[in-house]
Amino acid sequence: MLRIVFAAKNYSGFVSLVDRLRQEPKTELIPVSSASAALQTLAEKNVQLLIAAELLEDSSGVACVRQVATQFPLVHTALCSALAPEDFHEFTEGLGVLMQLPLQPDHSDAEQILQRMAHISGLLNNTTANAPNQ
Amino acid sequence: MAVVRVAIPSQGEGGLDGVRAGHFGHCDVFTCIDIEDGQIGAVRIVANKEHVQGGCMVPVQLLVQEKVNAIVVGGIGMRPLMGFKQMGIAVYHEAEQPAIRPVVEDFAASKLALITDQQVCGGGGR
Repeated sequence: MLRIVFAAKNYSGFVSLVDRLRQEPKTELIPVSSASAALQTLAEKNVQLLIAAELLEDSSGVACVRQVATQFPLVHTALCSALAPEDFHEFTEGLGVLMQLPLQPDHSDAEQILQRMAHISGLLNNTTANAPNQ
Repeated sequence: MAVVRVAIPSQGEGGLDGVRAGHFGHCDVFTCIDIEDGQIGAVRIVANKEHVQGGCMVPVQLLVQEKVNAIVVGGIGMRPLMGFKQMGIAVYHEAEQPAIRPVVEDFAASKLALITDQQVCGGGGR
């Protein structure tokens, strides 16, 4: 089960992304509108990914991602941002953001998110499988 | 006294006489050294996994599996630092010496300090 928290102040620009993620088998999408609600959900449920819009009701998306990196480092994050890629890299350095999304991500961005999550999950599973007996 | 296993992010093949990697996530291997009573014991080389964007928990999980207790880094991001802390792995900071052996000797002699939040890698968004 892949559980995703999707945080946005306004959902109107995310229909294509949300529709694609909701089509994915064994995937649960939990919409929230604020960083505080996102953090509360992460505290209560086993969530693998947070997708944050640029603006939330109570903070910016990057502020939310920073809180997640600090309090829930095992949760992956994707962040909507209009910054140029090199500026985004500088802006989010150290936060381990899975990928930058455009301000209005669509189904192709959802595909990329799912592919990257599957790839990292494979690396983690491979790590576990190759662990030596001690 | 308990054995402490410390990991050093390393370039190339690693080893006690090898060279450290500047950033843990991008290292080739981890040189893992057992320290007991201040003495250097067994050395084990652990290959790092592929580094992918956002995949900084992969080496954290790898070192958990290797039963590492501590890591010495020259640089690390906030997220992997918090990941190590949550997993019970102590993170020490040493950004001066490129060679592995003197850093391990300093660790064994309890001369290294835990990393602080001010020493993590972070960009303009902080």
